[in-house]
Parts: sequence; structure tokens; C-alpha cells
Amino acid sequence: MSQATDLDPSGPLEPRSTTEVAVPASGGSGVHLRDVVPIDRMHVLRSVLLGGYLVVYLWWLRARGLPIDRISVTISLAIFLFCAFIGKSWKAWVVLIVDVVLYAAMWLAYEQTRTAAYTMGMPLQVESVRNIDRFLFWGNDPNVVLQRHFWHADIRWWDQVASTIYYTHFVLPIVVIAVLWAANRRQWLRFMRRFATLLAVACLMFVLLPTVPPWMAGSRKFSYGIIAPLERKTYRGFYDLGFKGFVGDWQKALEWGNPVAAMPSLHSAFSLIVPAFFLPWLRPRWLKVLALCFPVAMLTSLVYLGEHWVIDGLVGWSIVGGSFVLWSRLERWQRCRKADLATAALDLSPTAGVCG
Amino acid sequence: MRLPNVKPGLAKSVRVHPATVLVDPSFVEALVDDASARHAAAVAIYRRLVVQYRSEQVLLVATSLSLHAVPRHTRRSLLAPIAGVHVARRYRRAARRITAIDFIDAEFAALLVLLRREKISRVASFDPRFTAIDIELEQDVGMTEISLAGGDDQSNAA
Repeated sequence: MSQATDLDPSGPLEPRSTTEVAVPASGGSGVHLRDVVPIDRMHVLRSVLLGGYLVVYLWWLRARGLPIDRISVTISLAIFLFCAFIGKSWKAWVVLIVDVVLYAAMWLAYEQTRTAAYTMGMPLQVESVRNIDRFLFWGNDPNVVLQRHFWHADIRWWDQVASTIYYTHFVLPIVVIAVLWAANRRQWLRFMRRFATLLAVACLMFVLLPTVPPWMAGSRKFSYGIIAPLERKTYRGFYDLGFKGFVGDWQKALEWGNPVAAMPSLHSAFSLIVPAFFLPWLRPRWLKVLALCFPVAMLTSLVYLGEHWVIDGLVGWSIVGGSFVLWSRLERWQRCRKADLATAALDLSPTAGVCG
Repeated sequence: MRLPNVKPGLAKSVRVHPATVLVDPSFVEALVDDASARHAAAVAIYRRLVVQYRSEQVLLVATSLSLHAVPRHTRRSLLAPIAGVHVARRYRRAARRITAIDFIDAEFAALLVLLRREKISRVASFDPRFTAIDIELEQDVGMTEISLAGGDDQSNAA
């Protein structure tokens, strides 16, 4: 069947009167675009490559462990982006390269400020955070209470849950960033603005407010001794699930970290920023509630595993909230400004809208 | 006939996935040209689109070429809400494959490819060729009412 026949029902190129043209009928019964526009072969290729990537990634996760160190993550992200952008226009590639440079700069700045925390010599926060937690929990140390009640020599199911939730920190935000990058740059930009703001504030706090984590505050290796000693085996639940390779890599990555970067908790913050970003997408309401249980489960795990004070997590969440409020307002302001410019040019009175 | 899918009850979900509206060259031309016979209709439609843009119900895009045909100060004022979209070479290549259809020229074919590949489902246009395509056309509600009351010749045209 010829497409020409389908597309030429009543000679639409015939000249029409102004009124007719100004009132075009919607083509509810017209030709579908998919019948006219040829299939994008590169889109098919990209889908196949991304499917293959997912299979290899899952195999690697099971056989070798989760890519966790900076280099492995960078390589896996680069391969993902190559698969997601192959066959796209050179302009899309230029935009991608600029985005990648800015993304890399963000992480480099993060690494540098972690180093700066040592050189600035700001006073360590030790008792202050312990005291805030005690104030919040009627004189109890939540880390100590949780470990006293739930920590056993043998591994229980909640150890596996807590450990797994803990380790999602190293995967979830990167996966979200990668998928948004490939799927919708506008949404990627929205997410990255909030994410980068969170990271920037966190870095500033790491430098200005170096904070001793609970495991260190209670450890006999250090001289603080302000709470009872805590077990620090974040990996044992995950190890029990068979992710041995992952744990090995993580132990190496841990050595690069800043041990007194407890405030704010990026684990808590990342676990909130992802569900918070996708919350408007989620239907029905119980799914929203379920999504918001994740950051609560993360903070509970962090406290149980002795990695963070409760206040670290609460501050992390507050920064996420602040970042969302800030960017939502700025984006709305920008949108309203453009709408106002257009309205003024149309010589109309400003329209009443959400910007009020 | 389908009407623009802006329903008050769906305001929140619309904000998550704002519909992208392609403002095609014929519409841009009518909008910026006060002397155009379609200028009044273009202004009425555009005013509604700007209100929807303000409340993040729609995103407005136009091809970079059609935007660059307009003076810079107009782009930065009247057309400020409209983002430029690049018609990639691969889109033009794909367009060449559909220009065999008698009334589709290369530019219109490229627009069709753009609509399909960028998943754009709404168009603000005065190009009558879009009436043959199953796509949501932005229309001036006031003028529609006038035309519906106008008589048989109008309904025949539609």
C-alpha cells in the first residue's frame, strides 16, 4: 500500500482560506507517524547494546563483584554512555562531552575537598554529635542500643538487609545518573543540579566540621572512648550473600576515604535524593510511602552498623530538602521570567499562574 | 477531533512529564509578523501555550533554523520560552526516505522525523499538511467556536 494514498485524503496542499487554516482539525484519524517515518536503526542498535551491557554488568556483579572503585566505576559508566549515545548526532556527542567534563570536575572537587579536610586543621567534632544524639534519644546512644539488641556473633537476616542497603549507596545514584543521562537530558540536568548542590554543601561541611563517626568514637584504637565500643563489620551481611569480590574492592576504596567525614551522611542523603526525585512519578500513594521508607531503612542501617550518628543522617536529609527547595524555586523563577518576557512582548497583561 | 490534553485534575502528573509542543516555522512566522492574516490566531494560541509553559505543563521547542530566522531581540523576548532543537543530519537522511510521498517536501519530512524521533506529540502550526497526520494540533478555541458556528463550508474544510 502506498503511503502517498494514505497521506493525501483531501488534497491538504490545496490553498485554503485564512480561517480554515487557523482552525486546523486534529488528525485523530490521520496517518500515524510510525507508518510514515522509517524506524531508527541506531535506536535498535542502542537498545541491543544496552541490553548486552546490563547482562554483562549483572554477570560481573555476581562473578567478580560490584565495580566500586573510582576507576572501575568510570570505565563502566563510559561504556554505558557509549552504548547509549552511539549513532546520535555529533551535536549530542558535544553536549555529552561537556556534561562529562562538568561531571568529572564535580567529583574531582569532591575528592580535593576531602583532602582539604586534613590540611585545614579544623577542630574535630566528637562529643557534640554524641550529645545531640543523646538529646534526641532521651540520654541513650542509638548506635550502642541497636548493637546491644541486634548484633550477634552469627549473621542474621537483618544483617544481610542492613549491609545490602548500606552498599546500595555505591550503586543507586550512579545508576540513576547514567539512566537519566541516556533517557532524558532535561531530567538529568534537574537531578544533577540538586545532586551537585548536595555534594558541594557536604564537602564544605567535611572541611569545616570534621566529625568522628560512632565506630571511631567507641573504638579502643582511638583515645575518644565517649561511647561503648561498637562492632564495625558493614560487609558481613553482604559477604554472606556471596558478593565476595565486591567486598574486596570496597576495602581498598575505604582506604582512600576521609574517616572523619561523618557529618553530613552522604549515605542518608543519597538514599533520599533518589526517591525524592522520582516521587512525583510514583503511583499509587503506597508506593510513595514505600519509596520513602528506603532512606529511613538506610539511616537505621547506618546507625546499627556504627557508621553514622543519627544527626548525621538528619543533616544529610535536610541538605537534600534544601537543595530541592532551592532548585525548584530557581527553575520556576527562570520559567516565569521567560513567560513574562513573552507575555510582555505580546503586549498582554501578565498571566496569573503558579508563579503568582 | 482531539483537544489539547490539559486537564486540571492531572496538573501534577503533567508537570512530571510536560508535553513537548513543536512550534513549527509557519507558526513562528505568523506570530512574529503583525501583518500576517494568521497573526491574531497565532497570538491567541501562543498566549495559551505560554500560560501552560509557565505552569510547566508544556515545553516549547522549535527548530534552530526557524528560530534563527527571527531577529535576536524577538528570540529573547517573544520567543524566550521556546527552546531550539537541532534537526540532525541523520534526521534529514531519514527524511529523504519519505520524500517520495508526493506532497511531502524535504523540510516537512524532516519535521515529521523530528516529531517521531523526539517523541513530540503536539504541534502548533498553520501548515495544513499536519491535518493528514495523527498528531495533536494546537488550535485557537475562540476561532474554533466561530468556525463551528460558521456553516457547512468550515466543517467540510475540517
